[in-house]
Amino acid sequence: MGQISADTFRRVYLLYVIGQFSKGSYGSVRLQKINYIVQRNNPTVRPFGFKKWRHGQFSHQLDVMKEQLVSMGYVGAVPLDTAIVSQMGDEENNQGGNKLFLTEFAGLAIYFRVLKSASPDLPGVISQTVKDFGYKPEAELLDICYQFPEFKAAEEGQVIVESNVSGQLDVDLTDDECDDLEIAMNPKFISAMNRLSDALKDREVPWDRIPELERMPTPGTR
Amino acid sequence: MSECQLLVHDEFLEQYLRFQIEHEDASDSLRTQLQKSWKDPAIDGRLSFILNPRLVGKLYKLWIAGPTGYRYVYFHDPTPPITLPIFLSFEPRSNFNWDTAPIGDLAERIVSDFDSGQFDKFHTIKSI
Repeated sequence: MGQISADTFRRVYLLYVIGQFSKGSYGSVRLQKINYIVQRNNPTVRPFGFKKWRHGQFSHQLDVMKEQLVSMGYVGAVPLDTAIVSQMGDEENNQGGNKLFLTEFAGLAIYFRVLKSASPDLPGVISQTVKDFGYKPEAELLDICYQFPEFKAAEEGQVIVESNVSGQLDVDLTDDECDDLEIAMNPKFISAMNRLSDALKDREVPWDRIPELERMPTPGTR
Repeated sequence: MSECQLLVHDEFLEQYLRFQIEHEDASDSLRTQLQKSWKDPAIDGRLSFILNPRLVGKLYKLWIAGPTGYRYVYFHDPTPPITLPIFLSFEPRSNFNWDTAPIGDLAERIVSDFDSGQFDKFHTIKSI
């Protein structure tokens, strides 16, 4: 039995949820709502806190982590067929959202083990929720979410659900697996390594501009 | 295939020096593992769960002073062969916490310097 941090757990959880959408998640609003319903259906594990906002239940932390997973290259994001995409100079302006999907499904088995450690029912609840609600028309999905009593009773901006995941979590992985998972789920590290990999592909290293050291320094030599 | 280049940033040189001062008894192991990451970079320590196709097979971790010791994380690109050391941990495995480890910040600074062409902050090494 090993341990992982709460944020690594959240990223794994989110990857698993996205991985259950056979055709990808159509838009961030849908992803928010599905995660909310999952937590409602399995309240023992609540990775994300949600507030009531103009477009319903919203988790800022989930939104940030989704962006991190995209930047890490684990989640792909392409404009929805219904999106209106315009070009502003070099920047693409997407009004209408993205389809979100896993770029590689090989991690699902390990994500499953992580989630099962937190709550044996959790992977099944996620799969069933995505199956039941994941591809409902957005208006119908929103209507369902707006009818939840806790949502109707809340004021805009008010917390509806608080996260109950923090600190270090025991998971049914070896210490070595946990260690590698922490590195693999570190958004700054992985994003930086992506940039490095791309930079090395795009241009040659100007070796003549790089100073050479006779040997690695030892204390007292530098 | 051309010989692998070891490309070391100032940030890693600082870590390397500090490690030798704080863990003199593990200095030989540090040198051995650095040498391995340079001469046999893709033999051991390939990180699991790196599923991004752009990075598969490019990130490695070796243990210094054995698997209860300290972590050494590096980037290796096989074409052209290049090894870039990124991170050393200073706490033994039992005291280490990824929540506070600066691996992300270090990687960002190293890659930013590479991206912006500040190659004077990097060094090639003739010998360890």
